[in-house]
Amino acid sequence: MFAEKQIIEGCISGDRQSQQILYNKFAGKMMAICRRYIKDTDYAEDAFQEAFVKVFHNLKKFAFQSSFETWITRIFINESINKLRSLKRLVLHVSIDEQTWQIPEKIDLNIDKFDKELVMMLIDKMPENYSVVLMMYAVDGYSHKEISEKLNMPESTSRSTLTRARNMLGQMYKKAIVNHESRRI
Amino acid sequence: MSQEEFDRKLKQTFEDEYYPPAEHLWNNIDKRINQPKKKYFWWWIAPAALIAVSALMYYFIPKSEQTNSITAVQPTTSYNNNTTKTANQNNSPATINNNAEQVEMSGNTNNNESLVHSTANYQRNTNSTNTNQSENNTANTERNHNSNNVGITVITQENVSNNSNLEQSFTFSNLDIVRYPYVNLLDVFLAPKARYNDFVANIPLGVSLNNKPKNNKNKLNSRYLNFGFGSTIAFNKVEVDNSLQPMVHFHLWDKKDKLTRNGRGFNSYITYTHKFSKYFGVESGIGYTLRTENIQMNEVSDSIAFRSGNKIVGYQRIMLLAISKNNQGGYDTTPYNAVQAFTILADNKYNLLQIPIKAFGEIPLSKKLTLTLDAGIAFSYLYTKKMLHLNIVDEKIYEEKNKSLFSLALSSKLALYTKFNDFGEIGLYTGIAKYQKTLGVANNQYQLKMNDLYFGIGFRRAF
Repeated sequence: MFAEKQIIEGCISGDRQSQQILYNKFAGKMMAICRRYIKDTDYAEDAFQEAFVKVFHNLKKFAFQSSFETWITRIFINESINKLRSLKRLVLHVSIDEQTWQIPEKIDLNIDKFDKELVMMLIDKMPENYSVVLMMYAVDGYSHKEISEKLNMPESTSRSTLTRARNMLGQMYKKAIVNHESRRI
Repeated sequence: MSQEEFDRKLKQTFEDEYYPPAEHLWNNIDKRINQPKKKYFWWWIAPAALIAVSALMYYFIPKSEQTNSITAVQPTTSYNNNTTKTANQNNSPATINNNAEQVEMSGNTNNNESLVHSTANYQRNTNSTNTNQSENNTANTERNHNSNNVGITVITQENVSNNSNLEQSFTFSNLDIVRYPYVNLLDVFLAPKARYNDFVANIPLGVSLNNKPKNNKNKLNSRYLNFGFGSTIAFNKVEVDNSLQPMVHFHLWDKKDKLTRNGRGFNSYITYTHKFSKYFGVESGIGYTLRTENIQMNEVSDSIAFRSGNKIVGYQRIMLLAISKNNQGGYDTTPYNAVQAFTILADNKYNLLQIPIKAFGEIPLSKKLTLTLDAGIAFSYLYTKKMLHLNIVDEKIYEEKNKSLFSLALSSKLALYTKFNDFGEIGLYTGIAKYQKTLGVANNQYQLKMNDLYFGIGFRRAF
């Protein structure tokens, strides 16, 4: 935290070396966040650049009251969502097939941990509004109220979308594991 | 599994998520965040324009000088012959010679003696000169500013790997070989060696711990180049020795403060500041001031001084009667009271070259604002090509040419600077100069004491 403060102050005063240090420290993580929300690499890079520019321009506003990583993560998530919105990817509709799904309370999946690459691949296949809500709630810790404000949807829609997203991912993951094991056999 | 467990495991999956961004992204970001900002000068336009316009007005509006040693004659308000006429004081006849009409004079004297009539010779000298002057002042060019970046080890993007020691590599307290100017020594000494060893083991190729930072003496921005220009208010005051009083008309003696008057001018400077600590230093350089003395005196007294040698022995009132024949066969009389006038209109200019040696101090008020104060002495050289003053004994205009004076001055300046992109700092200043030596005028009849008040726009740049 001590050194981080020095780097941030260096960035504010326009020291290019401090800027590069800050970038190097957070670029990998933040790019991963953008990729998590935006499947297309080019658009993810656009959001990444916009977000970093915003970070540098707004460093003066950071009051050191929270973790810097939390602060910067929020900016990247917001920027990713803005990008999706501008691309009109966040379409809030529920397909007839999804409507016929029964949504059990428990997810029929029994694993110790997720395989990261497989999860990423499956999330890419999910509708964007499902994956966004799932990432925001489960991974990035947003509340339904915050999600509803950011995505401009009712809270109830956020809850139901989340439930459907969990179940969709769970079922897709289970299916993928079964297919993988059957090929091995 | 439950939904909460699902969320927890999903979160765990993305905890150490890392995706290296493409190389060109940093270049794009760097260009956007470091592009030169638009320089908004507008808040400086008003004071700068005011100073520029006042300087232009001063130098390009022609001035005229006039000297006048005429003794004007004005009518009395009452006389027992009841014939009064008004006369325009400034248009009174240039000469009255002995061939004028018979003149009867009467008046009161200090010692009750009857008047002996006398004629006065009037001489009007009118000189008009137009003065035009312009001054140029140029600012110096800048150099690049190198702010403190001592001792920072940069791990570039190419060196980064998906490595759990990434966090440690950015904790400067681990790097106890490379010294940082703002690192608390305790952090260096108390850092656990195990973490340091881990860091060393994982240090990417190409980054050497043995690279010591260059010995940069200027890490505190200890050297500054300063320059500025602006307006001057020139305060002038006359000092007359009391021994002259018997020789000076009492009315002029009472009004001797009007022998000079404040003026205005222009000032500029270029100096070098060397700081030997964070807040204090010394400053020296060169400064130029053009200051004026705008004398406007037009005093009259109906007491005419009578002198023996230079010493005044008495005062008298003198009345003149102009008698002329009228058409009815009689005489008309026009009375005039003689007055003595002390008039001078002059705009003297003084050029001042100064070499200051001052103590300097600065107080950072915020990240962008700095208050500076300097005070000390200045070796001054004053020069004037021509100056006019009133000789208070013979009551005539006295002209002196090519006068110069070496003096010591007490000098002080207060400035408020703000950071100005990459150029340096720009600010407003105000200052005073108090010249210790006085300038003898009218053949050293009396002394001119000078003080200046400056204000203007200043620039400073660290190098």
